[in-house]
Amino acid sequence: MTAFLAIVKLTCRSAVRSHIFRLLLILLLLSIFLLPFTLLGDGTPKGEVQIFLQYCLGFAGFILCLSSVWLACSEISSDVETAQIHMIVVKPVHRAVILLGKYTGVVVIHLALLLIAAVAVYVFLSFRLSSSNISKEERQMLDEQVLTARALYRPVRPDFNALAQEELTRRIAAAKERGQDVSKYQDAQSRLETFNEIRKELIVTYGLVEEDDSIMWQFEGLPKDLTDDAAVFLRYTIFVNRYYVQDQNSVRGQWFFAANYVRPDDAGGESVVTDLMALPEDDFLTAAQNEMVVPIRNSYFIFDGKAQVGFLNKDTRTAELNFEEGKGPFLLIRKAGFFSNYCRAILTLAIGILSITLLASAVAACMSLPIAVFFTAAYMLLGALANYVVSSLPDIADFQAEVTNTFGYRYGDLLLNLIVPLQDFFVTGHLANGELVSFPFIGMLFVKDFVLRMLPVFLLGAWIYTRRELALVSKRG
Amino acid sequence: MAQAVKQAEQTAAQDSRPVVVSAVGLTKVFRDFWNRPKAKAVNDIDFEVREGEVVGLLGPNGSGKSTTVKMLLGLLYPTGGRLTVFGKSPRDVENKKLIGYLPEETYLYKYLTAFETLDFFASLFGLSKEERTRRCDQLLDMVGLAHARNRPVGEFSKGMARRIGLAQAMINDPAFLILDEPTSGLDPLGCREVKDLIKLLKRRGKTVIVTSHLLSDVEEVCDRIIVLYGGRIRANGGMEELLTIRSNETITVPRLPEDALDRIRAIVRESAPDGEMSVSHPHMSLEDFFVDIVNEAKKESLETSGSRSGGAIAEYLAGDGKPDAKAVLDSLTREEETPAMTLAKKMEADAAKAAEDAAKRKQDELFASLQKSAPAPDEEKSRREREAVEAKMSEANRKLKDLLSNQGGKKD
Amino acid sequence: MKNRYTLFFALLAGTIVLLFANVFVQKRMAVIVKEDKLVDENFAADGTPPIVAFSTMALGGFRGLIADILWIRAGDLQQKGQYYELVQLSDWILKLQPKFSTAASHMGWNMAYNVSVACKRPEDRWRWVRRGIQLMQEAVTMNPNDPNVYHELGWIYQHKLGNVLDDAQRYYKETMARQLIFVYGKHYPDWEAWATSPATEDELRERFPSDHPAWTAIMEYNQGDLSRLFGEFQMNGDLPKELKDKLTPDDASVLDYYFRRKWLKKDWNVDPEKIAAVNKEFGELDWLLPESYSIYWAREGLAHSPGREDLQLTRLILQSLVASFNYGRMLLPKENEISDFFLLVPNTGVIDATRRLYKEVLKTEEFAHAPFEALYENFLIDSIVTLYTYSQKEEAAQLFKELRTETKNKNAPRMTLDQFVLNEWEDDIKSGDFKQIGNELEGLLFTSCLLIGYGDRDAAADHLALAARVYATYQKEHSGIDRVSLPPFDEMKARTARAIIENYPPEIANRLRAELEEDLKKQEQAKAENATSSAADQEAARP
Repeated sequence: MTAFLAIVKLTCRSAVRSHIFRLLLILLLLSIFLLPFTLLGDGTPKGEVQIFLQYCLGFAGFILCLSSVWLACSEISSDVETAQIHMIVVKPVHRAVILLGKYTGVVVIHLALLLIAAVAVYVFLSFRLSSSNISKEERQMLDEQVLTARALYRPVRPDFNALAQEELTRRIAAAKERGQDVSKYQDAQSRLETFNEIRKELIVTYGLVEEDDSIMWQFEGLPKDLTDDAAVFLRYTIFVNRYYVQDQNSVRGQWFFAANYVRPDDAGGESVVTDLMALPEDDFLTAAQNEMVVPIRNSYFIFDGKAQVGFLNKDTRTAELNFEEGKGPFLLIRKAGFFSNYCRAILTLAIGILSITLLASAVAACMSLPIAVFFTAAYMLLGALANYVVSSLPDIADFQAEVTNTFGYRYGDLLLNLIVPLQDFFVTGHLANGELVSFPFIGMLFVKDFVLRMLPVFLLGAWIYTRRELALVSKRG
Repeated sequence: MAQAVKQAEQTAAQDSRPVVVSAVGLTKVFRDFWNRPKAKAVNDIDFEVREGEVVGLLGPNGSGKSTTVKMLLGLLYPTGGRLTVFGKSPRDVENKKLIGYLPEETYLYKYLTAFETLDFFASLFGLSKEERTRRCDQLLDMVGLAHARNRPVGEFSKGMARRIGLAQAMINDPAFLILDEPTSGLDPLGCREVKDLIKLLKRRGKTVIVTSHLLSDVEEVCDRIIVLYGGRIRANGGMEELLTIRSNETITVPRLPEDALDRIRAIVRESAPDGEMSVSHPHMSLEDFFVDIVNEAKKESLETSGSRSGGAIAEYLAGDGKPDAKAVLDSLTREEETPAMTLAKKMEADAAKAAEDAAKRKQDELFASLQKSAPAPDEEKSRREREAVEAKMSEANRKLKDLLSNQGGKKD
Repeated sequence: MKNRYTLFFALLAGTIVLLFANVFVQKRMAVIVKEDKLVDENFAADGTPPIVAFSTMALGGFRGLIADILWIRAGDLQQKGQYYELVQLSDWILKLQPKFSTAASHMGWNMAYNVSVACKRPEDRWRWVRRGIQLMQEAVTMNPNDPNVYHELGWIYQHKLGNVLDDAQRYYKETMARQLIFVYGKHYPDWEAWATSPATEDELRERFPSDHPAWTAIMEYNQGDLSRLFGEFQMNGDLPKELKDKLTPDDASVLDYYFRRKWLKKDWNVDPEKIAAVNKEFGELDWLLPESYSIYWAREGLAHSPGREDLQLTRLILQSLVASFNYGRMLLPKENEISDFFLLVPNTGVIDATRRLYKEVLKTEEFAHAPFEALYENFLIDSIVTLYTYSQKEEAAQLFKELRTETKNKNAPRMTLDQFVLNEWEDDIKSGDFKQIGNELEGLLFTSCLLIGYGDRDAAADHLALAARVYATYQKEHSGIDRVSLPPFDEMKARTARAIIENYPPEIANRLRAELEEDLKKQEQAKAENATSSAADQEAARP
């Protein structure tokens, strides 16, 4: 233990002396203290707070990641390359302990810096908010939508496979009835093709609402014991004719909500009656993210953790409205306060730093300094690329597409299963949107990324480090 | 020569002390990137190092010395053969508690101070803080770097860095020391101290392996030498056996007149008709001469900012452990002290001191009178006069000392 | 060891101080560079801002990559409907790729058009349009010789703010007018006076050297801290009373103009000299309105990009001029005070310039095809009718002559001016039905009464005359045919007047009431008489 602590302390001292670390530290200070003054919000206090949270913390986190990668590689690799390690390895310290000690040293410094940065950002934000004069309604909007932690509930996605299967069966039956040729359905291959086609169509038309038509969404897994005074928000984005941002304007429609009343029934017991409560017709702006408070009492709206929301298209001018998948509507229920959410975001960032340092340490234990840095940087870049590819080709998941797109998607998907994309840990976007960073989420991130993917790499690196012939590497053989 | 080697090996076989290092068929082949053998640095060597030995590992550059040493420490792995240290693999972590290593080039952390460096290495052994501080202080004293305790090691000269290296090698009071070129970079004073240290360690029963190019150093301290060439052992045996030229004899006598020498020549011609006799003055080693000069200079208190010779051997190194045989013998043969004897001793000491003071005073007076009487500073003349005075003084001193020692009695 | 560190920190502190000092020096140097024309005109006129210089040099080849990443991010966020980062991202992209004018144009257009309509409140919409304009202004600074950015900027002014396509367009015009009039000090500033006033602090000091009484007064007021004085000026829209009292009227106006032109340059990036030049070239424009700014920028673009593709700029000027002609003058209930009851009426002063420009444009080969000629013809007809309605009969006659000789209009050659104008109205009357005519009549009467309310009596009288003639013509054409006839002219007029009096601000209502008091009284009398006479008739009719 003494040896371990001594190595940690030595690593800390050595790290602080590194020039590149000092440079990155200056960048960190700049990003916390200078960046807020140069950021341009969209003119509203809400936008300014959002952009401040997003970018300040984001930059600080990113710089800390870079710094920790550099330091870990530098500390571990250069010791081996300059044969400094010979003096240590011949002492009764296990090599794994040495590696762990260096890792801990790097991590300790960066977690301390993260804490300082987090405190500085929080204090700065509080100061700015208290000193500037914001109108009451702006402040309310800020408190409700940004400075809070709301859990996001998505609507239940229908089982497209089952629906497609149903439709296929129906078509076959209809064709048989009409005496049409069903040979194309006999062969498995062509049946599969038809099935895919049907499925594709179902998915594409899922969110479309024609004039005078309506669409309903089911929500499940909502908290069952919500009090009536807790505000529940509905966040939605309506598009006209798919998702092209141009040609958007305002459309007319009507929201309605399912209210569940418990009434005594004839048999002397109680039964649940579901009624639809509609808001008056209104104009809604398209292509914009809107939020409204659900107007009925929570005790009626949420029953047994379930709720239903619907929309009626009363617009006469446009062809059809589109509630694009993945863009709503969502139910947002406040679960915690801003401070708690902020701490969770910092915690997630901390886990991110731990993970990337783990990788850097493992890699540096086996390779020379430039290669180790390059390898880690390449890993991070691949993670970002895979994330981007997968997120920009969502349609691929569900149906056939052009060969290169499919290949790209599959490759991206594979990479995402193997590599930890660093973006996972940057939850500043959630923070800026007032969305909850839940503990299960953090836990899942920790287990999935840190324990299952990074830790084995580290163990492998440690094992290699233990078995390496260290004298082979040094410049004097 | 071959005979000597064989004899040495026989002697080795009869040794009963426990084995510290055992190498059987040890081979190390360096491979290139494609795993093809590139160089056979160590080629099938067998040797043993027993407890309490000081072994010298010699050989020209590229003979496999460093490779063998690194294999002993677990920095390289043998490609063939068997190597054990204290009966276990060289990579065993627990064993390292008993091993101390001084590498050929000391790699230190430039920004740590001397004390912090030793403290760091001490903490790698899991020592408590007080113990660490104690040992570090003593080691710094020992290697003569106490004055540079709080200076960053990056500012040290090579010799000072080497001393730190030596200090860290001994911080855990190891049973087995490996010193790779211990005297490189040290001035002769330092060399002398290192050699004294090795001798002390030997007396304490430590096992030492010394690698060096400076053969004279090795010669002085080692019991046994192993000579490597091209990865193979060319010679392995005790110093005495290997180096003794049995075919000749050396006799050291005080300076003799010419006729005595002739008579001896005649005896030699009789006993060994084929042999040749040569007469010359024995030489003191340059090192001894140098050391004497420097010691004298020290007495005149000339400052040096480099390292100074240290003081006593670090207590924990010297004090702990088994008492050496000599000390035991001494204690056994020492007479019981009676109060009267104590008093007598005290009186002796006082008398001796008084005599010394008197001599010193006389010396001063003489000098003063000389200076007063000399009107013109004639360089040559005054120098000669001073020399004469000094000679007289030292003569007087010696006589006085003899007087006292005769009076004293039991003195070494 | 202590010495080593103190030296290091001293050097570090010195470096930071120098760095910050450099920023100030940079600004001053930029001014010098511009004034002495030390830099090629092709580069930004007032020196590239330090951050741009830094990014273009330090980031090197990564600039493009980072700009791409930011662009993708902006696009993604827009797809999600999250706009709060857009301003910052656009700003960064422009700074990273300042010469990429198409990208800048796209981003400016995007903010002004797409993002603004995603907001419900007109204040939010205005904000986004303004951001688009500001981005384009910055792009113009970075690309002074690129016609595209000028065009985009002018287009946003003319098409988004000026036209009537957006639900919030009235709000835009009102807000813009409100902000501008605060800077101008009044509705129609003396642009020539502004142009001759000092533009920079140095020029001001030249005008007011240290021994000048005005400068002494300023020193007394706040030790010559001009920037703080400027800040106060912007807050109140005028010089502080304390200071003003100590200055002579001339000096006060010089100082006033100095601050105002500085303010105008800062917020709207326009120069009074150029405004005066635009007025001279195109006629006296109302500079509270976006069309004027559109013309300004298009003209700037033409001036700075000689020999480059400038057709779109000329077209823009033409469109703005036509728009100015149609709606280019703002009438306010109370002069020099903006209210949401403003009225946009034609600006006849631009007709000459428009004609001249049309003729120039028609001369060039590309425009000499039928549609443009038709546009010109329609413009001439509109001009003639408007001028006539606003009692500028001589000018109308001139244009009429031109219409006859230079266009292919069929009616003009065979009619007099009076006939022609009436004919234009009558075409609608002849073909129209009761409801249509009623609407048109009401429109004319409404405009007439409103013009009285706004104090433009001549125009009011002209409109009234026209209304009377339309009424007469209608009666002639349709009397006896329709079952329902129009109510009496006076009654229609009174009804309209009453509607205005009841719904419009007191300034307008009072003026109108004063003018029509007589008529109203007569109206009441007539009504009373009518009632009694009909009662009497009824009595008489009873057997």
